[in-house]
Amino acid sequence: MTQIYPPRWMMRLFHWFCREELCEAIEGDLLVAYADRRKRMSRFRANFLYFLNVLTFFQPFAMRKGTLNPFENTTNMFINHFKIGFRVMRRHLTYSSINIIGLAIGLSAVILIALFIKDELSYDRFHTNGENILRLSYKLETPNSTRRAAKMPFPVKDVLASEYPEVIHVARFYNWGGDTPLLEYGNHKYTEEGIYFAETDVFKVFDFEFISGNPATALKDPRSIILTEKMVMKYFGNEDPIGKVMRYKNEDDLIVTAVMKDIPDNSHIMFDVLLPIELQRQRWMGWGEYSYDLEKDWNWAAAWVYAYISPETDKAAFEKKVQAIADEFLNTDDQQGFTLEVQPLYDIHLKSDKSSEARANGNMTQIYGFGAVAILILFIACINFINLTSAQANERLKELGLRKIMGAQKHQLISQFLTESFILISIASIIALIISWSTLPFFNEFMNKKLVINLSNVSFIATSIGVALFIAMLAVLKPSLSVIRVNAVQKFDLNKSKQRFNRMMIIGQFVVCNLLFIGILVVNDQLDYLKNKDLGFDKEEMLILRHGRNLSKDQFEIFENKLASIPAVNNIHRGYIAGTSAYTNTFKIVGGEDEETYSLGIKWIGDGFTDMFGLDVIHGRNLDRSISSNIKSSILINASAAKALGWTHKESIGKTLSFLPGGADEPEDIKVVGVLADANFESLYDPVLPSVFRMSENSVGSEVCLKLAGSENLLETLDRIESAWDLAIPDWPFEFTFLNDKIQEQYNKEERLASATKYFTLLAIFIACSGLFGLASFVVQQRTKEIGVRKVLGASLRSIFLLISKRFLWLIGISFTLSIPAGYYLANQWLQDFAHRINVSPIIFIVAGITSLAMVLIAVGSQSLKAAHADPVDTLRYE
Amino acid sequence: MKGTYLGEFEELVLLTVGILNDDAHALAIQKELENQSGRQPMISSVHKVLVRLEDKGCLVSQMGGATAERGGRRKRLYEMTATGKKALATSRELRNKMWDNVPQVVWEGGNS
Repeated sequence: MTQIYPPRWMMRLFHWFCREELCEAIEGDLLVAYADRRKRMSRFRANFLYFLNVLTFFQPFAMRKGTLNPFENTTNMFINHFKIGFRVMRRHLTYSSINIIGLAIGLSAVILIALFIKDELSYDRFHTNGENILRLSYKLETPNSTRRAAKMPFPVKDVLASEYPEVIHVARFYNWGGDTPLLEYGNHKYTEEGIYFAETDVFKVFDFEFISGNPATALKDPRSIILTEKMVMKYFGNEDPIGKVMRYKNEDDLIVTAVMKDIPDNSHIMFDVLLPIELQRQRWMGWGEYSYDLEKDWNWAAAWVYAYISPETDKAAFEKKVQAIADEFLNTDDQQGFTLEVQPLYDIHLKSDKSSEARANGNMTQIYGFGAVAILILFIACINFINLTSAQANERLKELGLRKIMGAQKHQLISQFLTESFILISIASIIALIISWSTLPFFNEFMNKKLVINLSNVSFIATSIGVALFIAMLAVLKPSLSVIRVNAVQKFDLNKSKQRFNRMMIIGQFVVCNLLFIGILVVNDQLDYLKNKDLGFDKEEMLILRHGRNLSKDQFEIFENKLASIPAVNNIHRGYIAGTSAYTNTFKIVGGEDEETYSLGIKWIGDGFTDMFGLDVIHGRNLDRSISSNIKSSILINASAAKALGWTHKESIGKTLSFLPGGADEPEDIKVVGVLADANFESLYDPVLPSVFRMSENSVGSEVCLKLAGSENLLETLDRIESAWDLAIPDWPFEFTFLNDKIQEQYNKEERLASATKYFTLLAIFIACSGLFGLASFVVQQRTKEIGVRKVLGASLRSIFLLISKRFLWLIGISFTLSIPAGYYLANQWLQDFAHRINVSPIIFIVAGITSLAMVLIAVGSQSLKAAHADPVDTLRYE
Repeated sequence: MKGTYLGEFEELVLLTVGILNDDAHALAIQKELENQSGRQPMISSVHKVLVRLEDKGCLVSQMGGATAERGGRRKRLYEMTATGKKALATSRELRNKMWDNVPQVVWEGGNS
């Protein structure tokens, strides 16, 4: 009879773990049972039972030694590697700590930057339908300008909802930047900038969190108001706000219907209070003869419009399809050139370059720039690590040789290196975590962010471990390759190839450092230039008072009269305030040869605008009520506008333009009476906007500007102004800013970024220099005896100093030479974006060169001097 | 006396080795135990106890008796040692002594 065997792998499994002396007898028993079962049941069942039988022997008594721990020897070696690793670390405390600290600082910088980038990339991702939300906006192309704005007219919603089946919901937000409405509850009365108008569909499209109230009904009633938690705290404290009545603009009573969580910081749209769009519509409808229906106005792009489209819609095709809206409603005989643009929600924060965004956007360049700095810092720290590790490996060739003689295999030596660099990296990572954790609050304040380190975040940990592994591998690669080549009985000498490698690394490191350094010098110079550039108008000692268009002309006059008695107030102006943003409109030249349109800025100014801001009329005359019967028919233009319109200054006087003021039905003709000198009213990032200046008859704008005589007794002056204000407009709070601060605001972000980069660059340079210091001290140590002998033979201090420093200086020289053209090219690339820019001066390179030379001299020189001063008696004692 | 103390199952296996005399291997012991006590221990438990008893010195073993049925694998045949015999005896004595100490009343007496 032939024996039937169970599957081979089961038998193998048994043989693998079972003790040899028991194996045969037990297997015999099992086979008997198996043969028996095969007669009684299916093969599969018998196999299964045999397998269970085998498993029942998986217990200590039957198991071979080392089955559970087949790597016992490896474990022991591993422990040994640990021990040796720590000993080496202790023995070379200087290098180890330079190594660890450099890496730790580098890593913590990288962690901070990574957090920043991650946050920037996380914008709007909390909306679960975000993939299918598109924002609609328009682009207006005229022969001499292109304008892209983030907003659309209100009625676009109805068209989208009724004529495009792929659109599931349309949501609109509206906020008028110039308006700072007053909100009041009990004795809490403040102006709020974060009041947005919205509609119920907003909550069908977006996922903003509610604390109480029903999203489906919260904005149904035009007299409802939704607050965020922050606002509830501000107005109600611990009271329950639901159902309470708040007063809006001193006019409307609104009922609080819901409370929302504060809008997450990584949202491209940020509001504190939501009101129904219908409320705004009804307010304007009720203006009697000026009655205005925003839902019918196609001329006013005022709302941010978001379409939630069905997932299977092809977005490119959809964009093509909606062009019909532009053709039907936007392009008119007066104005051609509108197209619609469709923008995915996730792209808004980083990839949008439109005007009238809801909130200042980030940009991709910034992300790339920061990311590059992070990678460069990591690169420099890595090179340090590699250099110092391999320098040490060089010192330990004897140990390696001995290990080889004792039978160590290559992979064991490599694993020893790996273990050691892992010890260093782990310590460095822990320190890095501590550093970044403790500096995060400062970083947050600096970058105006709310970042947190979340240790329970799996991807964060996985990434960190990944990075650590990667560095360890890199650091070990070079020594490992040398180890493989080492012959146990040969005289170990890796110096030649090693040095070439080290040199290349150092050059790379310092090219990067120099580039970063040149970078911050250029950025600094440019920002300084922008900051100190004469804007062309006075901005000092200007006080801006907000009144949200609620100051009537009479009230203004009362205020003006009251101010006349305050000697510290020199001047007062209503209307456009220099240095703030303004509107653009489309103009045509009356009597021109072609029907070309020009997009020009329009500034509604009050009396004495030019005096107030120190502007010069360089040709023609100023606007003057005593000359013009109708002051509104005359305008000033600035020099850029004359240029844009194709006129010389002389020609432009007496020319007539026509334009359609917002809300008007008929175009108006206006005559140029004077040309103003150019001044940078808008951002210095852009060239001077060609602008038209027109006197406004009745409107006072939404802000009043005062010129103060000086800043002495500022508090007292402010007090007196406030009492004048309270007399003129008692129901409006007195809120002020300084024009200087307001202008500075636009540069804050750029400056913050620049100084963040500056600090990170300094870190990088510090790390590189500390690496060089470590390396130099290593070289000095290796050559102690040589130096001793040289001294005995009469070498001078200078020659020994040169002996050590020469190599390093040479390397720095090469890297500096390499970084000049690269730095020049990159700096010019960056400067291209600025309308007003500096020239990259050679001084920058000289400064960078001298600085890096000085750094290196400090790092290397101290070690060289130490070596040169050492007494040969000490260094040669053991020879 | 830790070394020679026998657990209940150990005692049964040891006794079975005695019963089987010259063909005492694991499979036979398992079968005999089943015959005698009506319960079927797992083959791995039997092996485990045999190994332990051998460690304690109650059993010695030798290899022998390969058959085709066993796929050519030999059996491990066990034999009781003097220690084993003594351990069994001790265990039995202990039991007898304790039996004797149980008062007659317990066996006869009442309803509990």
